[in-house]
Amino acid sequence: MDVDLIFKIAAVGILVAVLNLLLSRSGRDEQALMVTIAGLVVVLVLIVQQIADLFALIKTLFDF
Amino acid sequence: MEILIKAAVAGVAGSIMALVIRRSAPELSLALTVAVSVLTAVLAMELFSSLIDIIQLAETETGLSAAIVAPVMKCVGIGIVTRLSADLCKDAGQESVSSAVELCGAACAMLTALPLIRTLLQMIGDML
Repeated sequence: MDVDLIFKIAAVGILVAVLNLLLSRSGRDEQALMVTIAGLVVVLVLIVQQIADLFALIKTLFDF
Repeated sequence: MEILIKAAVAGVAGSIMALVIRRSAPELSLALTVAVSVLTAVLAMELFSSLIDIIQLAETETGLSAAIVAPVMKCVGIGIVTRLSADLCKDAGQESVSSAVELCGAACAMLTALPLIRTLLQMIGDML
């Protein structure tokens, strides 16, 4: 298990939160939304492979 | 044992980090929760694989047919997948999606158990 992935996602979350705060304080709300969406997409790309691996593992384990 | 400790530490650390980023980025907090659950579940599945070897050994030693054991194993798998995804949907605050997933899991489990029910009915029919 790569614990790195958890820390990576948390780091992306904190970064997005800070950028979001800065952009929305300076009145650029639409750019803040873009940053949030970009962060979400990055994190989803990281996670999706793991989810697919888990389901494939369960599939082979319980021979579906 | 060290696998359990790994899972516990990852779970606690992940939950705390999810709590930190929840207020400012709730969707990323949910994504973090998903990642922690998936990684922990992968750990558990690796433990399950050695358990399944024992079950297969028991199956060959007792001469129990695979047609009886296979649906049980499949149902366990269906239960795990259903429970995991339904709970993640609940975490996201989508109760309706969660119950739809649970319904689908229940239907799948029933469908998987059909051959067993058929065998049971045939057995009763032979007895009468």
